[in-house]
Amino acid sequence: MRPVSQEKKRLAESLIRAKVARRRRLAALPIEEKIRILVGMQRLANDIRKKTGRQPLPEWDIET
Amino acid sequence: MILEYALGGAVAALFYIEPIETHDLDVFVSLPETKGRLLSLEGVYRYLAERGYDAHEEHVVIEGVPVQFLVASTPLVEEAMSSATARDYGPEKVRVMDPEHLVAIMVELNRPKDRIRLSLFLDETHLAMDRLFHILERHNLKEKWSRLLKEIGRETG
Repeated sequence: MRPVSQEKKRLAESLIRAKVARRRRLAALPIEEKIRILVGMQRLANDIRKKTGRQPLPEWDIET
Repeated sequence: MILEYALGGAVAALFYIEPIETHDLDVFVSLPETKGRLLSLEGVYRYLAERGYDAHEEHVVIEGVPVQFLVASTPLVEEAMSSATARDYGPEKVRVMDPEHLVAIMVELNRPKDRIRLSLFLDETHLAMDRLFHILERHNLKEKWSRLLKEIGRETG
């Protein structure tokens, strides 16, 4: 395996840091906002399930 | 009919970590002791059915959300229920299991989704580690905790 250059290593580290920071920001959102995101995730995941011939799971029918 | 309740599972986790996909809401309940009879959720289902919320398989759809009622099955879950705290959800207060008990339950169950959630808890929320270790110790989970941390590539703490 070829050694990774310092520049690529720094880039990878900064991407990982940004990803962790984004996830922490998401974790700090109010619960109501997280539920809104969750319902969006349910719809998105079910679209994929349907397109790949799998049974969709229940989506929450709530006002978000 | 229900002595106590607390949200557990993924929706409880949402109070502490980033949004994760789930499709049901787990409500843990404690029911009054009935002499010589197994604890049953029949009364809960009947109460809800009278109000138009029918059970479908293991869920009752309440205002558009599939809710699963569960009776605490282990001493750890019982403890998690009784130490749950009230948290705001809009204008309402809901009792939610605390993050340390949720983590201990993940360790106890150790399903693939528990391992993923455990990583998120470690990265994204403040866990009171002393409190967590006491819980793990009380329920003989410290070895399992160390093994699990190794499995998910975390240092033992």
